[in-house]
Amino acid sequence: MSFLKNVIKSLFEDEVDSANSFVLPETTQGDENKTVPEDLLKNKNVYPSLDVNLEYVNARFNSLINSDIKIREFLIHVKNKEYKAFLLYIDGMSDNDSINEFILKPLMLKNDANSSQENQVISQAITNNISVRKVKKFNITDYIYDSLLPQNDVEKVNSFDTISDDVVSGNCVLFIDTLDYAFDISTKKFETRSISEPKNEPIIRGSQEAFVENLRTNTSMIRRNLTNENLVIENLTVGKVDKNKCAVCYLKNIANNDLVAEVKYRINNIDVDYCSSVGELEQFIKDDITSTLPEAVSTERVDRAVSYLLQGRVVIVYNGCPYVLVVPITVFDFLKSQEDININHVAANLLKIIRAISVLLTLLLPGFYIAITTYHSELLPTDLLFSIVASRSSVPFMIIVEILIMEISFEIIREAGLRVPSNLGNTVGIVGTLILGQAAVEANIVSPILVIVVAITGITSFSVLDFSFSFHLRIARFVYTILGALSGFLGIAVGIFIHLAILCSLKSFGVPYLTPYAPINIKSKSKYLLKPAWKREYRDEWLATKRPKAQDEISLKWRKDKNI
Amino acid sequence: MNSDKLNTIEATFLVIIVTLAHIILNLPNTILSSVGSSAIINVLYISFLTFMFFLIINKLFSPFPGKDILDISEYIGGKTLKIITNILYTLSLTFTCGILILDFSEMLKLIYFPDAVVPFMVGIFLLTAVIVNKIGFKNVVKVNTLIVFVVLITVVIIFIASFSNVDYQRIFPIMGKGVNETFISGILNIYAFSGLIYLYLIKPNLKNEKDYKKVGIASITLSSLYLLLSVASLLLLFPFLTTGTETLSIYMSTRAIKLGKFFERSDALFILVWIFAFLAYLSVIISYLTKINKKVWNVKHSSPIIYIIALMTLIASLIPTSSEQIRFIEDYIYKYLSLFVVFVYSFIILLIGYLKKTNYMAKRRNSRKSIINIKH
Amino acid sequence: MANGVNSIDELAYVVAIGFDVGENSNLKISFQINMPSSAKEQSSGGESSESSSSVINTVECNSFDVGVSLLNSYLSKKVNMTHCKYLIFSEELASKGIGNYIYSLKNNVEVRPTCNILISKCSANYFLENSKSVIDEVAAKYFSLETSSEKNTSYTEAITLKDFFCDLSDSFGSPYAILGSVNGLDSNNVGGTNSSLDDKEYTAKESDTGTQKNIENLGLAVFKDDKLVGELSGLETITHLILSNRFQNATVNIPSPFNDSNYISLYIYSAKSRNSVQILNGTPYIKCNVNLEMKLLSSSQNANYMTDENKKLIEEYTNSYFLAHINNYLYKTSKEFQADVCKFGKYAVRHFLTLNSWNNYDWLNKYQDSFFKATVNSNLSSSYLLMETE
Repeated sequence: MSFLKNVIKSLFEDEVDSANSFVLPETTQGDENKTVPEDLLKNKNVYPSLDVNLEYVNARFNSLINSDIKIREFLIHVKNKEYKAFLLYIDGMSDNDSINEFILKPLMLKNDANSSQENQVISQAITNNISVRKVKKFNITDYIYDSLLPQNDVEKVNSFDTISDDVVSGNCVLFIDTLDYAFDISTKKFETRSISEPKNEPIIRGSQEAFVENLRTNTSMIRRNLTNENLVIENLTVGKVDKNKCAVCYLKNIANNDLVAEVKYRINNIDVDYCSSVGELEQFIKDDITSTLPEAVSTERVDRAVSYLLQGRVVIVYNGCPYVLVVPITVFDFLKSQEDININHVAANLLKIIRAISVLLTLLLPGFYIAITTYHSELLPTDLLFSIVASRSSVPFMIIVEILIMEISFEIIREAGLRVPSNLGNTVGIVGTLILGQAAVEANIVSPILVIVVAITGITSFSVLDFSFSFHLRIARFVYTILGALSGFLGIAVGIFIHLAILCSLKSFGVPYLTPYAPINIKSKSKYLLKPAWKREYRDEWLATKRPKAQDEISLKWRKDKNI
Repeated sequence: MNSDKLNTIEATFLVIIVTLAHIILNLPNTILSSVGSSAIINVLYISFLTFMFFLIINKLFSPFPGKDILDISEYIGGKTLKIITNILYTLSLTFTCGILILDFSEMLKLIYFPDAVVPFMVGIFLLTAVIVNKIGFKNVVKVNTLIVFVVLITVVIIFIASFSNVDYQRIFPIMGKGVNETFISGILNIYAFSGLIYLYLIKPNLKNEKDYKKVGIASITLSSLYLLLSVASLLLLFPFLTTGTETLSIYMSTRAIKLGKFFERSDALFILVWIFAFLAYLSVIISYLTKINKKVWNVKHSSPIIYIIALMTLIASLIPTSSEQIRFIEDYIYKYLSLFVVFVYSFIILLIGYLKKTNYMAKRRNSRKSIINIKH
Repeated sequence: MANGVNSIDELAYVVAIGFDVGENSNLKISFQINMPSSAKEQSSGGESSESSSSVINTVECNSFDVGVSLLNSYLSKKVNMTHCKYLIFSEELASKGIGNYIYSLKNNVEVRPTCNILISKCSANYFLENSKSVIDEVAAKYFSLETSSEKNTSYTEAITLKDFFCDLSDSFGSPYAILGSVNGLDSNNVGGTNSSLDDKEYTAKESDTGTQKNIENLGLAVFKDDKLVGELSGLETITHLILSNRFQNATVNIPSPFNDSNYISLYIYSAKSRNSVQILNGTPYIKCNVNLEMKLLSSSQNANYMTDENKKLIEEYTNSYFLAHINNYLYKTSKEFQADVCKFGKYAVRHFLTLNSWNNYDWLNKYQDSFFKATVNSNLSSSYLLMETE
């Protein structure tokens, strides 16, 4: 019943202008929805009694069940007094050596410094036979902080929320009896993959550095590549159960304030238990949740992320994922490679045109093939037509069946090649494409021309750089194939028309998806084709940056100066 | 949020798509058969007249910033006149639109889908337009802008490709069927610019009010240019005596185009472009009718109106029973209907509105003057 | 929407259609249909050159469209004419009038307006049977190349259905078509049956001498209204192309000015004719001013053709040679055929203000009364590789 109700509702009501109407350039500054709603029940502070703390921690971290939550109880000897204490950390995320050597050792060993007199005399002055001693009152906190913890990053914290957040990120926390706060000691060290070459976005000339899983490493890589004090890296948390860190990076003096606020607002207002990767995060924060198109670029290249930052976009780093998200984007960003700006603009534009052609081919070629062979065979040059007819003469299937067989088996080969262990992948490819294809042609199950068509479609789909974008193309390709089989060019035209309308309606963080072509902006400085390196004077105007100009009118000053 | 506002190019292309859709079907042919070999002169002549006409409209619209023809008819005759204007617009547009789509579907059936059922094809067109309209008004405009670009380029390609076969002597005899036919009764060919109907409606949707004049001039110039190109490529290519009786004239001219040895029969590609043009045309008409009806009837959601208008178009497309009737409707009923709506009715409303407004303002000025005089 | 009726598997592609006078009914139509032959079979067959890649089916009927449906009843596949390259009418049928067929072909969606129209001197069926190419495998490719040979020779003009139809319905001129025939092919003696001294004088002719038959497209068939009235030979076609400004290039022999029994060959690479028509006392007065640009192909011992006097001499000979031919051509079309194939009508039309006055004048019938004045200017620009021989 409710399903029917929903259908009728969606038929007769407009949903466009209600939910999400964030439009980038036209909003004014001062978005107020920034605050994180906090769970007041959980907002507990450290108790003065160590036993209570221990109980609370045990309960909160489920340490009886959780095997990697470590609680080390021990005694501290200070000034010949003994204090009870315990250390809380997660095994595998903290550095055992530094905990042993530089936390437990100084605290537990009875050394000389520990057994000296009670009050330290700071200065002594005798005037009129009255000796005035300035005595520093013994303070256990200061003492431990100043003398007993030879660590670089130690904080006094009293909120259990902070403590738990820090513990799960690899810190260890020291609780001491009678103190109503704890020491948060940075001992993060965990096994990470070492920084490696980008596997999925290789380029020839340019940096060979890729992101890794660790958030801090990634942010440090960004910071290393972008030397500007205006780079802001804000930490946010995603997920209620799995509190994963995510960092929103932007250049404070370039990126649009509203954009940054909107990104943070969306990330902060994801009410989910967990979010396992950037891919999932992207689906949580995209504008049009029903579309199959990605609305953020995900990249593993540090230099690409940095150049997007410099344009004024926002980069979202997510802990545990070697990819970062870039928002906002247009559809043309999926056809960009970092290579483009490294080479001459003419060569880059050639590549870009080739990529655009391959997008069209991978999207439409099977559809056009079937439409032409089924309905519009007069469009084919006569010789080509006759060779197609000859090659099909002993194939038993209809063209649509043939094409679906080939397309589906191609997708299976691709999926299998991706999923099997990498050294088997090549074998799957060879067996699948070469041997199977050859055998299918020999056995007259498919025609050789169709194998060519499917192969071209497959190859062109690899020239689309973005993984999730090529998924959209693959889905749409099947739709176009079926439309072409149903009603030829009419079907394809209808498909393209609706597809275009959908593309036009999409937005990525308030930026229309087909900017600057729809809505058309003839004066736009950021057309699809690149200008020469010295003429890229403006940042993309649809980003509404605070610094629209990226270059001076005359960027190559040295040329001018010489002429004078 | 002014996301529904149009920039100059989008608005211009909205007007042009109507002319383009007619050009693709039979507009150049109708002009040719009515004036003969003086068609080029006639097109230049009516373009000039339309241009003048627009300047007058622009002047008449000047006291009504941000108003369209509906607001003005409300200003003159209250709600009743507003509803009458709305109904007139809706009926005439759905009617012509339905007939045009029917004609186009018949043509597609003839060429490619001999087994297809025509109302079913019209249904497919309408369904597409409805889906696109449901995605949103602004998206219709955006898609239309992209598609008009493609269609404009295609028309130029057709002209260039058929240029090698052109006999420029075919513009003779220079006066065609006669001076009278060219300049007096030929005035009626001004209905070719019935896309001007948008210029009565578009004003409140413009991003910048001052662009109105620009939009009008650009759209009339482009429309007339393309009308000229298509009329010229037909006139100079074929003996006009035959084109006058030929259906699908532009299609016929694309059939003769040879793009090298490899693409000898490229007309299917042009058909593809024209399907785009018609889908865009249909979506634009439905979206605009939805917009004005939503305004007049004060409806919250536009979807029901979209359905009703699509249904009305479908019904209109079921009226004719033979291609002879379609031809008659296109050549006569459509001609006089659009002449009446665009060039007579709307103009009169605008004129009355203008006179009332200026009179009112003059009176106010006078009364103010007299008050001042009394004070003195 | 459709059950794939037009799918390429289910279609039989016609590459040429022949129209003959039927024995029992009006029309005998021959369809040359391409046979899809797998490339694999050909390669394994070895001696595949003998296997024909097309078949010819003939039906007797009263109209073209009925003929198509009759053929459909013979064949398992549906006949499709979108890839038809040639429409062949026999001379016999053409002299009876082919207007109706042309109109119904033009009305057909499948028959392309770019099909070539050819009038064969033999029966169309015979023409098709002998249309196997010496060089090419696929019939359609052969046909499409065959028509383009006019670019090299100018002995004929590739007239398409569209051209013919336009001319037929136009008031500017009369229609004409390619003239073709089956000729015996002897590789030593192409055109050997044309024994005339001036080797451009021959037209497409029939001959039974050769063992291997081949079709030959040479000259034009001239129509008055829709009836065949005569033919133009190869050289007349060159003249025709020059006068109607569609000339591309040609090689011609003219009598040598230096040696009576000899000829020299000229390569004409550009020819422009400035035509004008005046109406004097109701009769047309047609002026043609032809400019020729040419190069010298011939070379012989002890001759230097490129000296000033010799050049002038050759040019004068050329002028008079072409003038004679042009006059001959104009006389033939106007008085003999009474058909304005050159379409001088388009130059005449500017003297009329309205369509009515033009139609009342009835140009097509006035053309036969017209008188002409032609002038020829030729310019010999260079010879070829040998500059001068001693």
